[in-house]
Amino acid sequence: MNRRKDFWERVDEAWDARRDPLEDAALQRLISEDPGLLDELRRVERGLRELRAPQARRSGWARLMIAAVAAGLALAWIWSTRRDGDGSRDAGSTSPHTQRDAAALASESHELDATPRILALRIVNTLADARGVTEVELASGVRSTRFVASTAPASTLEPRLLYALASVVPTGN
Amino acid sequence: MPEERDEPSFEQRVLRELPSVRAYLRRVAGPEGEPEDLLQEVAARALKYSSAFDPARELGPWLRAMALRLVIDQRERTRRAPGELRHTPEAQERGLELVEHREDLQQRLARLTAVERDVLVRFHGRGESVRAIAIALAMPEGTVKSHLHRARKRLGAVEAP
Repeated sequence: MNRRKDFWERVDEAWDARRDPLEDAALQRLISEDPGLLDELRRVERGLRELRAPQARRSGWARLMIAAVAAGLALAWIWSTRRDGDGSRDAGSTSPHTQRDAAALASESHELDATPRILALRIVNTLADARGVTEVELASGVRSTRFVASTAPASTLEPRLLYALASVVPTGN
Repeated sequence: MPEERDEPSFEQRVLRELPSVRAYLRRVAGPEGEPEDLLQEVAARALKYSSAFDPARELGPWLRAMALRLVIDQRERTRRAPGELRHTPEAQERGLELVEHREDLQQRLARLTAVERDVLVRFHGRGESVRAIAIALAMPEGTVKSHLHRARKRLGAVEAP
């Protein structure tokens, strides 16, 4: 009885501190004295794993949705700038289609036609998790991509994913 | 002048620890757990993941933790093993117990109180700290831990001592 109590107290202590209980030498000794404790631990671990699994699945879906939305917006922006570029050429513009700001684009588009179009695109993706809050901003018009201060490690997947998406957006040259 | 001795390499240290790991595996896994095979795997993994070992820690517990993980993996495989493996009386007994546990898991989760479930999901599912949970739920950290410990116990159907 006491052995089991000691065992679970130490397991709880290790889990509370986010340590692997199996690396605890005292727990290893208790398991060797009563190998059945390992099965009990396994049962609880399996339950906890199942708690984590839906979170991971949701996280995977969230990443997919972010990627899909970002890709869709990027395509819309490409389509818009190309159409706008064609319009500029039709109007006899000889200036290169680079470094155009939103105001200039708005003014020019107003002269060309009244069809609604995307003049500027700005995606701000804010991700919050246990590691902190990461904000990624993808801005068109000035065609810049920048990372806002992040408390998450640089290896966080989502910013990289968005950065990769941003980097394939053509400059329109 | 004292003779300078070279520090034993990681491989040498692992080799030195293996007999005690073998004895440990025999006790925990039993003869049906194929402790010799598991020992080989421990040695292989130890060398493969040597860079993950913190030299400030003791090698023995690190190797034994690896051995215990392998025992757990082996039992999980047996649980899922199809065909003839399930026909041995021991495997059937164990398999039945585990299947029953799995089917029962959702019920056990449902049996937790709302706060126990919330604390458990926040800590293990979302990775929130005890402190963060305490702030979010407006309760002392000790109370959060009490809920957490009770919830784990119920989740694993561990009998109260």
